[in-house]
Amino acid sequence: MNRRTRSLANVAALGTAVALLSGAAGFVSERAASGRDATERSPLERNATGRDVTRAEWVWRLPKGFPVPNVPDDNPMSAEKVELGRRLFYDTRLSGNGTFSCATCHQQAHAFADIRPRGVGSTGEVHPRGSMSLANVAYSPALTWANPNMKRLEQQALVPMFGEVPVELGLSGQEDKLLARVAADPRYQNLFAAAFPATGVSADEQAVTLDRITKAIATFERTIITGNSAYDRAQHGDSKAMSASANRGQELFFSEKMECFHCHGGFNFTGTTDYVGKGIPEVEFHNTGLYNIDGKGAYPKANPGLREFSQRPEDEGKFKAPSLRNIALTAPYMHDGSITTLEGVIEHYAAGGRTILSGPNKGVGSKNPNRAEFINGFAITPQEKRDIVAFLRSLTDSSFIKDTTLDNPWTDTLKAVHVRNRTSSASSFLLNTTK
Amino acid sequence: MPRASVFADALSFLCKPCTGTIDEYSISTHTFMNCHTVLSAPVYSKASVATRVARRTVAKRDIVGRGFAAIALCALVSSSVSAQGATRKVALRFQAMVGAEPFACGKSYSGVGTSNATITPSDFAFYVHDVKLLTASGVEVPMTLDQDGAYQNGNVALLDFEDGTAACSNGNTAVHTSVVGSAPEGQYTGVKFTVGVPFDRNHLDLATQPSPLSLTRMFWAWNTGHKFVRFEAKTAEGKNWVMHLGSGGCMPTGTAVKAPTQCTNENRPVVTLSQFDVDAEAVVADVKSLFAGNGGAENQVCMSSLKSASCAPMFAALGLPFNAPATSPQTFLRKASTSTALRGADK
Repeated sequence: MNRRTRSLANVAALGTAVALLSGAAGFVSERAASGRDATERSPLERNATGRDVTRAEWVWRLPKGFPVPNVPDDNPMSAEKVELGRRLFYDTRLSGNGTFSCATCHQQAHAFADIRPRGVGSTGEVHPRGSMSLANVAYSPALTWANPNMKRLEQQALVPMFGEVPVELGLSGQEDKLLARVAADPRYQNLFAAAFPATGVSADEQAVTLDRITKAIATFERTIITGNSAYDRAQHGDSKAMSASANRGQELFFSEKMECFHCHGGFNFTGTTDYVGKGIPEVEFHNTGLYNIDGKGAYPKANPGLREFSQRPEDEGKFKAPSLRNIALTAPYMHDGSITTLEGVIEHYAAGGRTILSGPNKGVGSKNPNRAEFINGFAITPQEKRDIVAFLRSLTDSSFIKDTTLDNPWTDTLKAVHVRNRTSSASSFLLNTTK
Repeated sequence: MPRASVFADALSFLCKPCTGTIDEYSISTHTFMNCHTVLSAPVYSKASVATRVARRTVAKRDIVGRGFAAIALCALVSSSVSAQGATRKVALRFQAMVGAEPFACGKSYSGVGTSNATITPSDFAFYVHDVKLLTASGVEVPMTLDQDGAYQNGNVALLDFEDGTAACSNGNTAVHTSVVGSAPEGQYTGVKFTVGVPFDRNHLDLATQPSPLSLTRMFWAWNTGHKFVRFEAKTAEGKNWVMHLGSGGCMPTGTAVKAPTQCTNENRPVVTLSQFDVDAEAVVADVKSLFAGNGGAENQVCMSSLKSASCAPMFAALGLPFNAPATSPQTFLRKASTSTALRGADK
């Protein structure tokens, strides 16, 4: 079907779908269960009544003290677009073989990261790096572990969808099939019409397009916001929110002895941050001395870090410092999942770099010439280690991982497929985290 | 400015060939010659190409009908007041070959590379842009590409040789083996073009690009650019022989929002074929030449990384620098006399 005939079909289907009250009832009840602000109207209600098409101004629901995220001018926020994006995010039809969605590797229970050390794609191919958490991704001016060019969520979504090295969602060359699958679902016809209201200029406006899919997904992703941890409550006056151990750990975290905050600073515990009014977005990539294979700073071939893009030898092994919010939920750690526990991470930094005694990655990381200035090692007692881990655990937002506005909105068989694949696809890693 | 000159300039503007897309809406309301450099509406893959082309063709007839008077005026006046003469159709034909044999999906070819591998291709396509015809005195005359809404947009064309059959099952049936357009009438003795997508169009958001820049299998999402050349094959031993050519070392500058802003390895081979008769000859894209220096028991996979040993001989075949300036011209693309059979096969 070409674009024009597809759009015409959509317009026709839209009328039909609006009349299907059974579909409408199901949709509304799902939204009611989502716990959202009751004043928000569903797209279907608006289309069914045919009343005003004035879009309610988007209101961020931000944690106390959080700045307003930047939003691209060409993709403003709207409740309707968030809803569409949420559906797409959890839809396994967005993979070549119908088994994976974005949520397969970005799981709410794990702060929208994955517990596998490295991602595994829809065809079983293992990614060189682990899935990054999407928590507070709206504040990140550089997405992914080490790609300085990946700055827009709309553009980043194309990588898992169409990337071939490695295959993730496996849609390369299948864009027509994808668009046809999505356009064929009456629920999507409604959702797209609501998220991208027609202005009457041309029939093409009703079309399901790749541009709209990535825009909607990005819009949903910008609502994945977390800021209600014990640490946050303590910041806002609840003196009992954090344990004594966690409080001691906080002091260590912000101390010049451990230097954690230099790379994991700010409200989002990462130096790579931007928001409305920040002025200059900050993008940082650091080498933490995780490897030093040849004594000259080499990392394993699959992950040269920033050097992959800059081609500068001094950028070998430089990766983005991820946000530490919900870090206790996202083990294992580092870009390649090569450290399994928070304690292990602290030991790595205490040693000023990791020493690997044997095997292909053998080397003394603390002698990596590209090492960041703050990676110099420090002495730490067992109690201090416990304290700092307690502090990191206080960054977990337990309400975030249960937020019903962020969970899987599908209630039918699609969800069953999704759950089944999440539990069976990772052959070597147990996945029992689906809700 | 003298009045005659103003008149000539106006005519020159009116009559200059559109290097982009003529706006259909403008045509229907008689706002003639509203020329756009890019299509605003993306087309997503070859599956919709046939319909799209058919639609464009109808639109073109409409243009011809409605604009006949204007064109006639241009033709009449321009010959006397400007250097701009009549134009002619040009079809720069490409032929995919593996050595002496025509490329075909799923066909096995022996004697490839340094270890005489037998390879079975599963994909082959590449972009070209900035096509120029050369006169005997060395003047480069830009060719204006037909805007087909599918394989050609602006000055970029995708040449696609896989037909979706056999091992190319991930592809589509449509192929595109000629760059089609027009150029001023004249005596041309050569052709020059660049392989790849121009920098200013290479790193835009795929989701908003017109075809052929919207095709996901030619998009290099991770590098936020396109695969300039895509060739894939398996050897009889089951090893992968893959060439994905694209720009490398691409980085943003400072805090620029649109990224990247520069690439240290552009990787856009410029090809000049002299003594080339565009009407009688075709450009051969020879897979055997591309892999002439590759071989051995390992996969030969090049993703354009300067650290990849597999890339070194392929870059040499493309005449591209590889951690050092290129030492010899490219051998991948060459001219070949066109047989009657080829001319007959090319529509």
